[in-house]
Amino acid sequence: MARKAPRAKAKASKKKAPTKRNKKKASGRNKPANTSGSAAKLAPPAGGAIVRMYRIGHGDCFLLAFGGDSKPVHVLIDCGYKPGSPGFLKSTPDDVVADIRAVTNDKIDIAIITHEHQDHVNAITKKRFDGLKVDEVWFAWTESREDKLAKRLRKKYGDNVRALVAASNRLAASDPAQARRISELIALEIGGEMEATPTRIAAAGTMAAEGGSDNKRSMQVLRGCSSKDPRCIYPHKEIIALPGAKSVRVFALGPPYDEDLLEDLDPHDGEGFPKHGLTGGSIAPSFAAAVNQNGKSGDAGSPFSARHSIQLERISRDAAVSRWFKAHYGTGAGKVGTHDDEIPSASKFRRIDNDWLLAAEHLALAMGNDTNNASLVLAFELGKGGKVLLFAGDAQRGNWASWAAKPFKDGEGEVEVRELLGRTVLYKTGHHGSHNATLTGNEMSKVPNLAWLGRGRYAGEFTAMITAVRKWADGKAGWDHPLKAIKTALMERCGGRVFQTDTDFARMSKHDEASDRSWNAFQQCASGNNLYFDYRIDPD
Amino acid sequence: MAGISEITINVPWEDLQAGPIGEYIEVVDIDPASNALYRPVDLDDPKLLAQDGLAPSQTNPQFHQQMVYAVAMTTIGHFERALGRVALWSSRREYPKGGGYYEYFVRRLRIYPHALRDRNAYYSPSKKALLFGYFPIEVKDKFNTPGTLVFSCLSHDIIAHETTHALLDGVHPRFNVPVNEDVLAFHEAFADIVALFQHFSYPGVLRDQIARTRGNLANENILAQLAQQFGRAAGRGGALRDALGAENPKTGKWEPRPPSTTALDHTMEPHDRGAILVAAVFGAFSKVYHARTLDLFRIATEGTGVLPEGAIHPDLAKRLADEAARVAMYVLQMCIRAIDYCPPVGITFGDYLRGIITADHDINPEDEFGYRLAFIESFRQWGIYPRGMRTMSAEGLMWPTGAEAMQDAGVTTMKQDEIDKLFVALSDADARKTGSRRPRRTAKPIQFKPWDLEGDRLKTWKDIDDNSRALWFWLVEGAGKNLAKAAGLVLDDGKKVPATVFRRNGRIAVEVHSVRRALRRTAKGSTTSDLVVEITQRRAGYFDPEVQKAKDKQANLAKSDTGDFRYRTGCTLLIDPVSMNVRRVISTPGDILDNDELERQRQYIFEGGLSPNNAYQAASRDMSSREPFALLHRHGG
Repeated sequence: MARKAPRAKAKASKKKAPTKRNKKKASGRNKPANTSGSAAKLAPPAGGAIVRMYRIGHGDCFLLAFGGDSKPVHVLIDCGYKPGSPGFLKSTPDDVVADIRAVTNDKIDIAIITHEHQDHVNAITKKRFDGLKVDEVWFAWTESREDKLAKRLRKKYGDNVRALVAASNRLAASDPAQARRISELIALEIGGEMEATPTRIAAAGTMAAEGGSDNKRSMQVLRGCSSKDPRCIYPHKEIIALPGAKSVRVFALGPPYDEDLLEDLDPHDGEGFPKHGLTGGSIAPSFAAAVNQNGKSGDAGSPFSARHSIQLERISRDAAVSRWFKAHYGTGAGKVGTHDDEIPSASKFRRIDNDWLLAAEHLALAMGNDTNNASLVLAFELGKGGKVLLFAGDAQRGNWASWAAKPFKDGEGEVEVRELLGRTVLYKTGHHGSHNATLTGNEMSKVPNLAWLGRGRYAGEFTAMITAVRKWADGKAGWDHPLKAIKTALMERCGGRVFQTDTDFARMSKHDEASDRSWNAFQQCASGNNLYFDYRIDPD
Repeated sequence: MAGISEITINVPWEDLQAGPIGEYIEVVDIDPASNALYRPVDLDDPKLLAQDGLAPSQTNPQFHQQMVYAVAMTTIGHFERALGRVALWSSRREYPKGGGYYEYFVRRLRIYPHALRDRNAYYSPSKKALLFGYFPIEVKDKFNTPGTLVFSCLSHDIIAHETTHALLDGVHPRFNVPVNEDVLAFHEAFADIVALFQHFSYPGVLRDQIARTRGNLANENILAQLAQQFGRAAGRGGALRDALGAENPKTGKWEPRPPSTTALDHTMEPHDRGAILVAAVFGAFSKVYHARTLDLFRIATEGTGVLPEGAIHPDLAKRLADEAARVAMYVLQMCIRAIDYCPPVGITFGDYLRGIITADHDINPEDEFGYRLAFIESFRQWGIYPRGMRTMSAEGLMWPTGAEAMQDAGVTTMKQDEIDKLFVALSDADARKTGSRRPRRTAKPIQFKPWDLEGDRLKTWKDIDDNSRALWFWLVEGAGKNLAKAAGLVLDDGKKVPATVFRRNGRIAVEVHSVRRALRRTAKGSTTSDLVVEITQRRAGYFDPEVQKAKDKQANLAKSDTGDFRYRTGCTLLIDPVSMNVRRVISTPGDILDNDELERQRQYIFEGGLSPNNAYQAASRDMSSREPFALLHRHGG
């Protein structure tokens, strides 16, 4: 069994067969592993693994079982969804957690949170997790209570949330659509299981800024399941032997830790700047000062001294200025007359009373990107020099770009990240397959990208998992997940072996250019039902 | 380092109200984030007149108002001189309930110098306004003090850049609809080109730098370096950022970026792509400057061309600076003039090159200083050429004349009397067929009026509407049909046409967007004039190619069905009203029936060509963005 997949690929490339027959076969095999209600145990092969991808919604929840030293080792990675998205699926978050508990007998060896976003943590509630035991909790270094940089990032983060909530409040009346979009982004940061509306955000946001968000509560619940302090993981520092399965080694590739950031006060704006993964950026303080001031004059960000400015509500006291203001900016309806050729000077459409607040959407996006880039990125290696499972969290460009910053020390030798990633056989796609969360490029490029993954003899087995509910994302939120270009690239690279939360296993089909042999080999290892997909990875 | 921190900008006299508010510009200094209005400056105040306006001041908002006014007026002046007509802002559109839209005249561009608390400044096409932001510096380095405020409205280059966006929008309102990878990049690059060469064209600006570098501008690329600094000064990179060169991290020295013929192939982000166009134009400028100053160096060095050690003679520095400013001014005029020689939709860099070459040829057939050659050479080095072009010679790049286009299309060449008919007044019945975009009916009769250059801008604007109607009738119903065909327009002639092609009153719609006059002084001192006419057609395009096929085949398209995007094609015609000659025909690559072009656009918009701005929203959302420049400029860094 162990060597089957690579060999199958080598032969199969010679002939092609129509894909339709494969589809039929697949549907025949679509037996749910869990029909009776009592969860089937995950039985990974010695030295191998089974990955259970839960169809929880637009969000991540994975249960990994590694062939352990004495018994299987269970690793939980994330547990969350965007509220509203499970409605497009046939199971609920309650079903997901119940299955996790049944499969693991209420004992998870390691629980990992990649980053603190709603769609990765909100299903972790006191009610659902009560009585569950976790041996170790792993977070990224950004959660460390001691680390100076982590503390600084958290402080800025709180300020940002506060300013954005205030901006969303002020926009709710004048520009509801905009406020709605911002709410959806703020909701990611503060969490909870209710759908986002500006009103709810207003209430939850204030608490969130003080550190009392639902996301924080979820993190707390998870901490409470373990008797040990969480382990905060730094990238490139060491190769971690998985407790209970010594042959499995874990490489942390992100989030980047850059001490220079401590000295660097420059808030690089936006994601995707090349040097650092985490911007540590704050929302322009003068913008924040103005939103928090809520329409009163004289905040700290005011650019001119009082003698040059007239408060808007006092304009009427100065007759000349008042006349000028009414004629050239206007306060009333400011409509164009039906028989005019020229627009009146005081037209309403030209006023800019709320335009400065529109920057909030960009700032909210930047904050979301920052949190995504703070994702813990882990590569699980099945035995030294063996196959690799890459869980990229929601890493975006900045995080990706730092992965190959340095090699890992391995005893006397070193493990190069490029070589490590070349052995990837399973890739948990970053951020619902969005723009910038799976980099494209070629093998030669210096920045890690899709072409670095699953190379050589691992190419024939390379498989991807996308956590996305397209219909939900496309709807109210207006998110383009997964991005068509990325999905297409993955389908091609994986020969069709791409799991997606909202796509039934029976509907998965071989890519036109992939071989029947590799597809059949894949079918041997994969199964799925309404609650999850199971995928078995045999060791080399 | 900054050699010159103060220049006096001369602005033509006009009566100004407080603001300042003049004929073209109205500065309204409201700052909603600070809940404040800053008192409008009155530049006609005798006290201010006597001292050339307010002295430069960071802390006085009235100086800011004066600054945006002066720089914006300078930019407008360059446009009016290059294009030979009064500048008009894009019209305001209102959509009444019954469908369709009306257009209204916008006399003044509004400028808000302190609109945003953001590291941003942008032109808002929907408000016909420039919004400038301000922000505190947070960087602590040798150039900056943390906590101090940066005002984008105090940067000459940003004001010129944003004003250019507005002026270009006034000429080509469709140039902010991204239907190929060049469109947005062009808007950015063009705005940077104008800002850069306007800056260089002020007398004396370059003298200091030239003295310091001993005149060796071209070799050491000091100009390019300067260009970058101008962009960086206000905390915003713009397209210039990486195009011309970068600091080598190893040596710490600035190094020019050599031209690359393949750079465009793998550069898709609008600013980066625009930067390549800026670099190409800058390359042309350097080449001409170099050629034109060789003699000065020879004179100054008794023929050797090798300067002795030490500072150069101040007279030489002055002459070199004058030469640089003169070349900059000519390049600026060439670049602006070319926008009348572009297709009305979907501009590409290659089209723009053709526009530059053709426009310059039409005004100055000789090219004795080698400007056109320099442009072609530089553009070739940067790999910019029109798609499907057979040669890169000046002659081959020129847009076809009317006669050539009609020969190419195989239609009968128009006779003189057919062209003359354009100037005959329409009968009432005919005039009714044409339809106006203005709510109020125009004066009768509808007649083509080519001679209305001077005077009130509102009247000019109204005449455009009349002229559009007269021209429409001539092209679609009258004697101009053959020209329409040669220009790639599709008219109703009984053949079956896909239902997705937009119709009006049951006939294939031909939309005449503007008929504007251009009067230019040639290099020889005579004047030449053109009527510039833009005509477009549109068709509903769909996300799914199968849906497209199905909709094309339907008998009719529901009125509410506007498709997922609009596929537009069309042409620009340049007509010489004196000789009654169709001087140039500039068409989009395909006509409205061209399925390959439609498919190319569909792929660009939906299949990865148009890159999303963020990890959430779809790229196609940019197609209908209310503030297309707000986001673009933020990404500028």
